[in-house]
Amino acid sequence: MTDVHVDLSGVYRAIDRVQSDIYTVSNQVGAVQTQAADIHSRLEAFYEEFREFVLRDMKSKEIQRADTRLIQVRQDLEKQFGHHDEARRHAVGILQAMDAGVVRGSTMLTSAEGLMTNCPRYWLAPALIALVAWIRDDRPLAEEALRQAMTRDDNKTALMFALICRRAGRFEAGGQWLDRYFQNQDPFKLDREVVLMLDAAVNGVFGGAALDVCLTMVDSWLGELEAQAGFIDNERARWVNTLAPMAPAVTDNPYPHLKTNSATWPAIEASLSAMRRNQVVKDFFGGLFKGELAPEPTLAALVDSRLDTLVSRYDDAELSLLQEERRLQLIVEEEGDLDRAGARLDVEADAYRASTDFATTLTMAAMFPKNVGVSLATQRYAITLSRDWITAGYSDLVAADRAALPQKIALATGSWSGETVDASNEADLTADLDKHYKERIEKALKAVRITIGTWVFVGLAVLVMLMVLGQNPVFGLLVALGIGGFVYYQHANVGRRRKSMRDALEAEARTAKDILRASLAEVVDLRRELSAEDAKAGEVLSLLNALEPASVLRRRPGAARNVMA
Amino acid sequence: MARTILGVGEKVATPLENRTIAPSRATISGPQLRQLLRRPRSAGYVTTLGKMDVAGHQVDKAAQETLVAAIAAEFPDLTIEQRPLGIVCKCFLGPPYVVHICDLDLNIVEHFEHTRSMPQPFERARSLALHPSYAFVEVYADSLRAIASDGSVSVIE
Repeated sequence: MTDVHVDLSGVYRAIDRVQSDIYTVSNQVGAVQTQAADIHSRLEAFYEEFREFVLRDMKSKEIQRADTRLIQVRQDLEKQFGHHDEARRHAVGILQAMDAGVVRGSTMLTSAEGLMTNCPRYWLAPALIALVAWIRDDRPLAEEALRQAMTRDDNKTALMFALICRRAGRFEAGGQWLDRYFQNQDPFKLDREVVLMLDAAVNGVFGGAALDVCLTMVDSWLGELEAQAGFIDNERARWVNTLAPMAPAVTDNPYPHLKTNSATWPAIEASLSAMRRNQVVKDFFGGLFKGELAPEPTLAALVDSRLDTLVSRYDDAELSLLQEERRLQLIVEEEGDLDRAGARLDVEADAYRASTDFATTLTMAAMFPKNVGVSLATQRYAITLSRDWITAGYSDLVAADRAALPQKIALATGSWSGETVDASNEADLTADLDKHYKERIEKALKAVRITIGTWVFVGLAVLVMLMVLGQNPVFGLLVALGIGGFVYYQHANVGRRRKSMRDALEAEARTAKDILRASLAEVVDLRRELSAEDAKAGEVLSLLNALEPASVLRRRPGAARNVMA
Repeated sequence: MARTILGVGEKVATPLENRTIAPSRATISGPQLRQLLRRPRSAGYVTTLGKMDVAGHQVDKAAQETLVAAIAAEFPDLTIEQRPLGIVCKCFLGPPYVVHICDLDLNIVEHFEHTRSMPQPFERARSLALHPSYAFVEVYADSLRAIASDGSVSVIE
């Protein structure tokens, strides 16, 4: 019988090449996957950096815009209201000239009359004529000028002459002017210059009966306000809104692992900011009441400075420009962050309203004294008068902060996730992570095996071998050896791939465990910090509860008691 | 109107057969109601609610009645609907329980572990109930009122 030789070597070589190509492609796919993950991660990082850059750029542009606009607003203020300055300088100038006795009455009158034509509709012009006429003992002129001034602004005229009478030692007349001033007042709708009355009373400008009248009126206004249904609730809410923005932004990156690995981070950050507010509030109120105030100047100097403030700060026509000026200042202070600047302006908005209720006046004097033009003594007084509302509002705010404190903190690292309250379950979490990765490794290793396609190929090769074996045993044996070698090669390859996969996953598990441990350490530190900051709320309340209004009044030497704040 | 029975876990159903219901009065609402609920709680009320706890899962009937009387005395001017939905307190049973809810009608007392959430709106009160500054938390439909040991009230809208 003729021997049949079938040369299958080419087939085997082709199969080997295909197999080799498959492995190469498989490796390349794996490499591409790794690169894709790397690119994705870099893109995320790039996006984040780009986003931060855009934000920084926007803020920088806002600051530039605010700076430019601030100059324009100040120029507008000067242009539209600068002519009032001349009248304002005259107010104190006339009084000091009268003290010095070196300027003739006719000169002062001529000068004051000029202001009537230069400053139409301005109340101060006829008020100054009335003052000069009074100095010159020209009663008809004084009365007519006073009528004009009171028609233009009754409240400011009354307050101005109450101060001037006090300065001149005319107590009865001063008392009458104060009575007139108070007659016009409605505690639900007070003009802004009421803070000046308060400032004068607190700093000892008014003494004796006049001071008692002021304090009695203040008590009466407070009583009227508190009798209104819902008033106290509104005041508590107001102080919540006033104190809430004092929470500092968390910029020191104190817990980097939690920031990166916890979905609870936004709530943690908000709680951290809220709790750190307690120290800010404590420093604010504590700093205000620390130390003695500067020694009192003479009565004349006290009155002159209040007159200066009265005539220069409370023109309602300037309010919108003053508010715009403040808005732009806040944008610069908040480094271009429009949201934070807007939030601060919302809280200060009442300082730029033409009229407000007395409680609002006290809040503005307490929190934004420079905006409303009052001294530190008046700021202290306003705070002590508002004490009960402040403590109630602050207690509500602190309670809301405590309610929002996240109890459970989610953690995720690698492919594992879990949660903790105070890191006391570290052993359980670590064990869970180990179990997670163990299962993952087992599953991944099981997926790495000789494919069905390969087994089909081996099966076909065995069939061919069996066919050949019968006809050419030697050749058939060679084929069998080839098949055996091929299977061995496949098996070894699977072993290599499994080892590689195990190594990678075990490395990932180790990294995940390190991150978990670092995160739990941060949880411990976080809870400690939150507790310490939270405890300061009690210190703030103790500080506030110790305040008494009477202790911050400044009385003139020679009065019943000289109490320094 | 029947009160909703709370929770799905460990429950103690203690029907009260002789519960006293406050006589109806003129309805207070709006700012006056809020002002009334702001009023500091009496020392007796704080002591009674703050120390109320359960041994195991049994509730002492006499203690329940004392509690009902204390609550009725504290809120004589309010209708049932204006009173708290329930009280959340720190639980002194020990681990794994951390807080419990008392339905104001005391039909249900339910204990919760730190891993199990309370039904809304009670879950919001958890952090406050656990805080040492507060004896307990009154839960209303639209707000929480955290009561300190001195009776002072902090309102969380």
